[in-house]
Amino acid sequence: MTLFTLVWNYLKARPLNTAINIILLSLGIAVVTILLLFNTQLEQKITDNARGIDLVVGAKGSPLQLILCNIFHVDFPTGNIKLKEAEKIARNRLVKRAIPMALGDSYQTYRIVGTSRDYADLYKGELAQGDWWEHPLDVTLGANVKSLTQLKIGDTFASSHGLTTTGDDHKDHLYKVKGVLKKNNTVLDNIILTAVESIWEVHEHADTTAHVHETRDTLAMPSRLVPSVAANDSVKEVTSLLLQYRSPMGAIQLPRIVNAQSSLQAASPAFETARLFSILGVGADIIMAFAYVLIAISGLSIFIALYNSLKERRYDMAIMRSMGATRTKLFVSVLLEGGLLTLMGSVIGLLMGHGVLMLLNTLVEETQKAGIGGMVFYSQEWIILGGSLLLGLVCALIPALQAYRTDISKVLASN
Amino acid sequence: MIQVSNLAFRYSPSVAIRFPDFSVARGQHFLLLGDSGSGKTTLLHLVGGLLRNYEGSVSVDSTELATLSETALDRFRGQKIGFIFQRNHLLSALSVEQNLMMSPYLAGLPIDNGRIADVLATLGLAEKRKSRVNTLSQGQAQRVAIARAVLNKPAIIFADEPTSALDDKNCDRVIALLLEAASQHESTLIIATHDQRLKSHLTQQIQLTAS
Repeated sequence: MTLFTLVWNYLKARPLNTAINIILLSLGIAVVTILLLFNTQLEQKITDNARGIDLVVGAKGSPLQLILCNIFHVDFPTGNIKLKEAEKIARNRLVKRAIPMALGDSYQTYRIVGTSRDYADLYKGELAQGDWWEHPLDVTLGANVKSLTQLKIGDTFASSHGLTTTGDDHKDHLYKVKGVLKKNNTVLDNIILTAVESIWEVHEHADTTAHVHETRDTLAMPSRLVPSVAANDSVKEVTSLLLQYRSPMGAIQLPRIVNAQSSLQAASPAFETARLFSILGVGADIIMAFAYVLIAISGLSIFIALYNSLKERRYDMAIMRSMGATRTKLFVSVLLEGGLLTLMGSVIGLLMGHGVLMLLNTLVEETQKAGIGGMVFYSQEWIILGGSLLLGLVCALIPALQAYRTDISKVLASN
Repeated sequence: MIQVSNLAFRYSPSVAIRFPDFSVARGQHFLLLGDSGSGKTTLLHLVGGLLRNYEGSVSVDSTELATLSETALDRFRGQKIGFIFQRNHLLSALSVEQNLMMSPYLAGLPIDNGRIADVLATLGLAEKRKSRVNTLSQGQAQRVAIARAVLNKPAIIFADEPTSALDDKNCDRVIALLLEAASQHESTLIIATHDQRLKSHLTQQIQLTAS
C-alpha cells in the first residue's frame, strides 16, 4: 500500500471521468506535439537546404518564387537569364562561388537539375553507387528518386516538360543513369542531377545544334559557369545562379548590382524564408491557439472532477485522518491525483503526436519527400511534459487545500 | 490509560460543554451513555484526539493530548487508537484487503499480511479478502470496519454508536466481537451509545447528561 496505489484506485473507481480528462488533455498535447515536430523539422529542413547559399540570381518575378524554385525545387522557374549576364555576376570579386542552375524538366515529378558539381558539393552529396554525371545526358539520381522510381544504373528515361507526369515528353533525347547518391536529408534526395548542357541539348532543336560547335570553335575564354561554352556566348541561357559571398560586403553590394540590371533580380534565401514563415506562421498560430484552448478546457475539467470527487470523499478523508493520516499526506495525495492524470494525458498526447506524423509520413508522399517523420524527438517535449504536469498540480491545488483543511470531527459527527 | 479532568469544549465562544471527570484503566471496557446531544461524540473525539483546543486536561496513555503537535497527534492516533464509527465507512475505491492495509500504512507501521489474514479469519471474512467493499452486506462491512480498527492492536478502541442501526441478533454479535477483539490485545474499549441493550454487556459506565 502506497499513496500511489490509493490514488490509482481512486482514478480507477471513476473510469469514465478519468478517461475523458485524459482524452481531452491528450488531444491538446497531440496537436501541440504535431505542430512542434512539423514546424521544427520543416524549419530545420529549410535552413539546411538554404545553408551556404547567400543569394539567388534569376529572372525578374517573385523573389519568393525564385527561392522556392531554385533552392527547394517546389515552384516553377521565373524564366531564364542569359548566360552572358550571369557570367558577369559570377566574375564579381565579391562572389566566392557561383553555381549555375538549369531547370524545367522532370521525370515522374522529380526535377531534373542541370548544374555543376559544385551544387552537389554544397550539400555534401556523396555517391552511394556508380559515378557522377560526366557527359551531357548523363544523370546521377537522388536517393529518394532511385527508391521511388525504381531506376537502376544504366537505365534510360525520357524527361517531361514541367513538373507534371503528363507534360510533353522529350522522347528524342534519353537520359542515362550513371550513379546514385547517398541519402543525406537535403534536396539532393529528391532531384535528378545532370550537366547544364543536358538541358540545352534536350531543348535545342535541330536548327541550333550547329551553333554550339560554332561558338566552341571560336571561344576566346571558356565560361566560368559552364566551361564547355564561351564566356561571352550570347545565346545560351540558364534559370538562375546560386551565389556565395566572399565577404559580408557582398550582402550589401551584390543585391544592388544585380537588381540594377533590368533583366535580373536577386533574392536572399534568409530573407525570403523568414517571410514565408511569417505567412505560414499565422495558420500555425491559430491551430496552436486552438490546442491551448483544448488544454485549458482539460485543465478546467480536471479541476471540476477533483473538486466534485473531493466533496464525495470528505468522509473518506476524515476516516483516513482518524487512522493517522496527516494533513500533508492527504494534500499530497490530491496533488498526486491531478499530476498523475495530466502525466498520463500528456504522455498519451505525445505518443499520439508522434504516431500521427509517422502515419502521415507513410500515407502522404509530400511529407516523405520533405523528410518529415514521427521518429524525431526534441527537447521541447520535456517542456510539454513538465508544463502539463504543472497544469495538473495547479488544477489540483484548490481541491488539495480542501482536503488539507478537512475538519475531521465535524465530518465524522455529521450524519 | 485515560484520565479526564475539568474537561470543557467550546463549540463557539458562547456555547460550551463541560464533562465529568473520569479515568479508565488499561484493558477496562466502558460504556459512555447519554441522550442525543449530551456530547458523547464530542467527548469521544476529544479523547480520541480528533478534536483539539479543549479546556482542562485529557491524558491518554500518560500523554497530555494538548502537548502534541498536530502531526504527532495524527501519529499517536494512528498507532494507539482504533475507531469504529456509526457509519462504518470503508474506502469504496479499495478492496477489503486494501482497506485494511490503509490502517498500518497511514499509522506509519509495517504492513503485516499475516496479521491481516488472521484478523479477517477471526471475523469470518477470510473469503472476502479480495472483494470490493460495495459487494459486502452491511453486517460484513461492519465487521471489516472492526477489523480495520483492531488491526494495529491499538491500546484503546473507541466505538461511536456501533449498534444503533442493528437488530437484536446483530447487536449481540457485534458487541461480542468488539469485546473479544478488545480482550485479545488487552485494549481499553469505550463505546459511546444511547442503546440500552448494551447495558447488559458492559457494567462499567460513564453517564453524560445534557446540560
